[in-house]
Amino acid sequence: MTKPMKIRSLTGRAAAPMPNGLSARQYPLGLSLLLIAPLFLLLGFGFIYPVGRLLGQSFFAPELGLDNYRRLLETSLYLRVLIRTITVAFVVMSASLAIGYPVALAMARLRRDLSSLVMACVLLPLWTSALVRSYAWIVILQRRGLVNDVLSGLGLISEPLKLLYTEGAVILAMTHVLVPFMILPIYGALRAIPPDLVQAARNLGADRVNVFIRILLPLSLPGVFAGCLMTFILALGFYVTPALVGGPSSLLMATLIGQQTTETLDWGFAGALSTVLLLVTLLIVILFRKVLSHSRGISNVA
Amino acid sequence: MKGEAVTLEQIDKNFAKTAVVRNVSIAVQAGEFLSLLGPSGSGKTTLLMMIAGFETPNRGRISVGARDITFEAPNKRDVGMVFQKYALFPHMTVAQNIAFPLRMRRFGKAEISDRVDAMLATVQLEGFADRLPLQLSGGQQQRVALARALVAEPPVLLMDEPLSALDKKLRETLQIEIKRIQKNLAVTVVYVTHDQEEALTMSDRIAVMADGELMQIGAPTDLYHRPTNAFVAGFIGKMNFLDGEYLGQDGGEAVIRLTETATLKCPVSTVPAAAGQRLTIAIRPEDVAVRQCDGFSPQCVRGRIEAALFVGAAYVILVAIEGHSGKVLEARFAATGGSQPFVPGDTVDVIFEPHALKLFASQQRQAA
Amino acid sequence: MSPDLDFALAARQANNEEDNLSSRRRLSVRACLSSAAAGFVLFAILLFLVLPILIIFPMSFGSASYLEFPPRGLTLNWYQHYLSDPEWRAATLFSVKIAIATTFSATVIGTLAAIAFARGRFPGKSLFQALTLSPMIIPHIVIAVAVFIAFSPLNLSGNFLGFLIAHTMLAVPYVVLTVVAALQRFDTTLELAAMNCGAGRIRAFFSVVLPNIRVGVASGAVFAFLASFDEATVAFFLSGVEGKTITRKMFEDIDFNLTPVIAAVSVVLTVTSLIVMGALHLFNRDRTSAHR
Repeated sequence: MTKPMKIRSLTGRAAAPMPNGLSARQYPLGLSLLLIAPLFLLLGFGFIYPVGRLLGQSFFAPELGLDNYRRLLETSLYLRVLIRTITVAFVVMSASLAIGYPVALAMARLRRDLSSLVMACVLLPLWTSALVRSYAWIVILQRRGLVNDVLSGLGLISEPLKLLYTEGAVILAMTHVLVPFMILPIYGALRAIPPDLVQAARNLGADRVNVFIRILLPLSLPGVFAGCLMTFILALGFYVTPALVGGPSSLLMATLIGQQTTETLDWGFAGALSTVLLLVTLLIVILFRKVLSHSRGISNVA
Repeated sequence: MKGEAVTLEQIDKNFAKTAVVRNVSIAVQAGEFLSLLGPSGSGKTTLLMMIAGFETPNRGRISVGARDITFEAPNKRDVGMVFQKYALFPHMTVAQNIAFPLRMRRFGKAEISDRVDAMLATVQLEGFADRLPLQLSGGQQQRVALARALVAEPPVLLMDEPLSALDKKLRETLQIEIKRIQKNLAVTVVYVTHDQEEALTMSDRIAVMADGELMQIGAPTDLYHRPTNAFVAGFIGKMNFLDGEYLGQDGGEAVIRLTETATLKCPVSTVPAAAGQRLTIAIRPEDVAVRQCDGFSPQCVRGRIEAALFVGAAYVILVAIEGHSGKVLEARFAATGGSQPFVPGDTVDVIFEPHALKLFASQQRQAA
Repeated sequence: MSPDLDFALAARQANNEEDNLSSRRRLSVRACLSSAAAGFVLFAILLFLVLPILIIFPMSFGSASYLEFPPRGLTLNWYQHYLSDPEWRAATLFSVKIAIATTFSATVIGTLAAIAFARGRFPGKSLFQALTLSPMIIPHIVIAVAVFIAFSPLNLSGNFLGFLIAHTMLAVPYVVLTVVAALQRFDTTLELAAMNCGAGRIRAFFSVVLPNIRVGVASGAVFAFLASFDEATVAFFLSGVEGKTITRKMFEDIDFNLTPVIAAVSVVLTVTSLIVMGALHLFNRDRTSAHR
């Protein structure tokens, strides 16, 4: 699970003019390559080779051709799963934005002690394993769980509702898991707005609502985009929460890929599904970057 | 410790495709205080960086004493350096900072502590040994940087605008102190600055740089009184520039036309142009004499007072020269009691003494 | 500015202030209501964020053998059970071993690479930077399945080395990012100063660069630890019967054997994360306050 930190596009920084000849501020080529070599070996063996092999397998297993993709496109079940995955990711992103923005705003604008309290409430879930949080939602949503207990205790229902293993449960739990990744970039963008800008706007006659709509909101948009991108792509490929909280009726791509790998052992098809998921993810990233092209890099991940 | 000579021979340096230093040769004598003076982008800091070994020249040779250090690693050069923002190690105390060059040279514990104490005394920072750099004022950090650069007794000390971050008063105090320490230790100093007053006060010689080229090198008084080009004339001290035309000789004197109606005479030897060519006439504000209008003489031009200012020790008046396309000349004379003798709007005579004029070929670059 | 204009402006400002005051008084009831509403919404969201995690704590002490909330009796049984079960113990030990080894290797590899990224120049640098960060972007399920399929035939699934490679690959981007950020804040002139004082590249790095980017390296190390210790997706696929991480064991038990032991394990995982992050926070605060 991703942990809190900033991704700044490493390449985004304007390069200082560098000399033709040697400059001591810059490491020589040989040393640079030596420093990068361990990472290169690691990524080559631990990342490029496995992922490349998986994607390649979709064209070769069981035999050479596009059979796996044909099957994916011709079976309505798989297409439904793909569309559901994208829909769920979109809903999770929207829900995260809806509940994340107010929290980010509160963190950025409240008094220091209050804002640290809000910050703690955001960091606590962030630092808790996604597995633990999914488990918590099982406890809350199961037949004899907290929600059903409370509802029947109040006499609102006569028998327990089926809450767990539904699409709603998946969306709820995933939103809970991913919302910190929405909050932190927005908070970062809001914090970067100089306070005198708000004072200036007030001084020029804007009320609180206008200050928000005309100053804070537009200036926090890069954070919003970054948060949306992050929650969307994480939601697309999320495995743990849907696998635990979801059921057969709410099958998502990640769970499907997992099934094909461990249960049906159809690695070629798993590869094809992975390729499609990867392509969708990349498409989303490119789309967001297009929208965000004036801002710097991939910006913030939490 | 004894200073050693630093020799730069035909240095070229390009960043990407731009030449930032072009064919510069300077011989710094042992124990000399030499300033590299120039506007930003003139290549002076790059030159210093090449002596320190942080940049390598594309052409040329750098030596300290008899050692060729052109391609020597920076840590093997034995050349002390004070950086613009001091570059003190923030995680080390003052004493640790000063001890660092000695530790790198594997000195014994006892000797390190002796030398650090001596150095702290030299820069008058006894009692600050255990402070962290961030707990010091700018001036104190400056002294620590100086101590660190000198503690290993390098024959050459490089300073890169070391006083630019300090306020004027402190700067003047430290200028004197740096000079004192330099004289005591007889170390060779190459000092980069863009502040001409600082360069004039501190240096034995000044090398003026512009656009990567060495414009002139010489003692402060030389540069001030005998600039060899319009750039140096304008960069060191204040200077008025006027356009003129060299008409030719008349009775052993050169005749220069300033306006339609006014000509000036000056010694032929000072004219750098052939008859009929345009040239630049330079004169310092304090050499411009102005008096109430009383007629016409050959060395005199009519002008109108634009502004008359009192600047403390002196009066400054701005005079528009008649018939010279709105050219305004600055004149400056000592304010010895009384009141400003001129009022804006007065018509006056401006007198150019022949010995005060400096003439340069017209196309030469001038300092802004 | 003319004195007349000054006066006119001052008068207008005074008027404005009066207007503001009266309108503030008029609006005060509405303002109170709206800020109360905003406060309520915020409070509800924060409850949503925190409550699911806090619920686990009382559950892990509940005496019933099924999940019940609120618990009727308190007991430490589930912790005892967790600690005495050899499977849980083996899984925990395995996870801790992997996490510590991953922290070490990811920190070293990531820091070296970060230096090259921040300070070096080599062909294909920007491409390589993108590649380094891609494990954060690419769906973990794809990575997990890919690693599982690739490592199984090499006998790297279900064992320490396989996990070390996979987790280091997942953790390294965090280290690279934090260290690159720290290096960009680091004033390279300090390194030049160290070299001028007679230090070679390597000594300059250890005596001047590293102490000044310590906070970035430490943050990277902590993120790397958690990226490994809390990691569940790759662990789910890469675990074997022998080599099983605590997250994989928990995954299985949630699916097949939902007892309060899992609540106890959840508390252990959460508290571990909090302690590690808390330690980092203290470390960073010490470093920054030492500079004041």
